[in-house]
Formats: sequence, C-alpha cells, structure tokens
Amino acid sequence: MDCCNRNPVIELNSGTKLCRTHFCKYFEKKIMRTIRRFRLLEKKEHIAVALSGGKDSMSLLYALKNLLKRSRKISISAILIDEGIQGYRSKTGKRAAALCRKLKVPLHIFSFRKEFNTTLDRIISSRDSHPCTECGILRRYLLNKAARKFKATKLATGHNLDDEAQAILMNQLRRNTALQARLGPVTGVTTSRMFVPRIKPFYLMLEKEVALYAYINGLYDEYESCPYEHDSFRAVVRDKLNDIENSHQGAKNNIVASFLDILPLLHKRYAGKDIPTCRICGEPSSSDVCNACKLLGRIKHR
Amino acid sequence: MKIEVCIPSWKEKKSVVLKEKATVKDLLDKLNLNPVTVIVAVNNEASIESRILRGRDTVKIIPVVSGG
Repeated sequence: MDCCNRNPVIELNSGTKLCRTHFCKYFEKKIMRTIRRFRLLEKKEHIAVALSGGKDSMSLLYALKNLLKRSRKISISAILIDEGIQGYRSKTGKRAAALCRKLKVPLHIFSFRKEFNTTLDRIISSRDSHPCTECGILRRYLLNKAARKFKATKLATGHNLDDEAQAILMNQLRRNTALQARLGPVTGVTTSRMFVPRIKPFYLMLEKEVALYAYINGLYDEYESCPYEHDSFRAVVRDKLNDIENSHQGAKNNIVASFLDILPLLHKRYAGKDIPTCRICGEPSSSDVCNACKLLGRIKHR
Repeated sequence: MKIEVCIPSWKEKKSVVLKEKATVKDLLDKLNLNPVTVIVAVNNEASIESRILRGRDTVKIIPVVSGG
C-alpha cells in the first residue's frame, strides 16, 4: 500500500511504513480480505459480536460496523458476558456499553451469577482451579446460548493471529491433535443447529495491529489486565512466542500459515458427526455431559 | 537528554536519560521491553521504533498483550 509517509505509526513486516489514515485503510482492507478468503459471511447475516470491552472485541465491533454499514442484509448486535471478576469487568463492561451506545448496536448482557448462580471469583477461590480454562468453558457455553437466543447466524470473536499461533503451539505442546482441528478462522469440525458458527475476522491480524487500530480510534488507551491471566499456560506460551517474534520477524505468521496448510487434513481426520446434546442442559456437547455441566458439578462438590 | 515516560504499571511518570538522537527503539531497549508487546505514543501520537526522540518529549508505553 502506498502511503503519504507523514508521521508513520507502524512499520509492517514488509518494511512498509504507514501513517494513521493509511494504516486504518490497510487494516480494514485486510479484514475484508480475511472475510472473503475464508468465506466468513454470507450476504444475509445477523452477526453477534462477543464483546468484552478489551481492545480486540472493541476494535472488531467498531470495524465491522464501519465496514458493513452499507449492507442492509447484515445486522450486528453485541453480547457481553459478565464473569464476575471484581474490579475488572465493571470497568471494561462500561467501556463496552458506551461503544454500543455510540454505534447504536444492541447490547445483550449475560452473567455467570444469573446463569450459573456463581462468579468466576468464587469459582477460582478453590485451590485446584484453573481460571482461564474454567472461565473459557463457561464463557463459550454462554456465548453460544446467547447467540442462539437472539437468532444470530454467526458469532464473531476478536481472536487475532497471536491468539491462534498461541493456541496452535499450546495444542502441539500438549499433543492435543483433536483440539487443533477445532481451530481455524471458522470454528467447528462438526455442524449442529444448536451451535452458532464462530468466526474470527481478525484471524490474520497481529495483536499489535489490533491494539494500534484501537488506540488510533480512541477505543483503547489504558491497559486493563484480567487479574487471573498470569496464571495460565497461554501466558507462558505467549511470552515465549513474543520473544521469538522479536528475534525472528514473521514467526507468528508462519505458524498460522503452516497450520492452515494442514487444517483440511485435520478436518478430514476428525470429521464430525452430528453433535449430541448434553443430557443435563441440552446444549451441544461432544460427550454425554458437556464441559460446562461437568465443571458446574465439580464446583458444587468442592 | 531527559524523556518523560509513562507506563500503566508505574504509578507516576518517570524521567529516563538517553543519549542525544536516541530512538524509540533505544528507549525500549533501555527499559528492557519487547517492541512486539507494546505501542509507543510520543506526545500522544503512535510512533514507529525508528522515530528519533527529543528532549521534553512525553512517551506513553501501552502494553498490547492480553488474554488468558
């Protein structure tokens, strides 16, 4: 992309320097290319954006709203999950609600407290808990349920290239080959009417690019860190990967690109049958009882 | 030269001494920060690493990593 080169805000891996205006154009074009390349959207959709108030989901909502404003057949709403993390979610939740008001996007809020009669703070007060795993299970469960309730045809998440590269490495390090097959720009190796397909429009965006887009558009200037994030295996992989990227530019891109090369083979190997439903809650599940119900059962007995 | 630096994890701005014509990259090296993990705003404008800093510049360093 050509640029006026006035006050560059980023230097891409290719060496191209972009000013704020041209960076935003480059960023939004890249989203559209991602949507087209991976066929993330059909002509008629109701997109539910999973909104947390962090830079990724705020940028996603802002960019999609901007890019799809002329499309009369695509509507957008937002879903926010309040996990019950004291001093964290209240701040980010307010920020998310303000953006929805500004963009005139309907916001639906669901909470662990209301849906599960507990909070993440309470869940992780037990010594044998894994905050990110447990939060992730309940959040995904609730997002799917909420998206279905509001008849969303796609659930868009702010996962970026860094998130994907980390997940790929984590699965490799744990030899979770079946889980690898569930990654990719559109989630799911199986289809079910109970399951709203999840799409990742930021699949090819570096985390730094997303943060810069958010900063330039006034969506993010104060870093809010989840108090539990440092406990995770992901945080370890993330830090190592950032060190590698610093010394070997393009490493994250290459991890995801080589994963995309083998993803069709993984899909074939783990080709899904119809997803059964959980016998407790009736939600889609790969086993007799879904992970959310298993987790809630364990919490009761702690 | 002295540069005013603000990082969210610090409670207040700090002065950092750098040699003349030092760049944003030099500042990050001095603070032992990986450029992949931060955005650097000089006088409230996002900047690239090769930007040359001047005395009295105010630099805000915003971490970009997130997620658990």
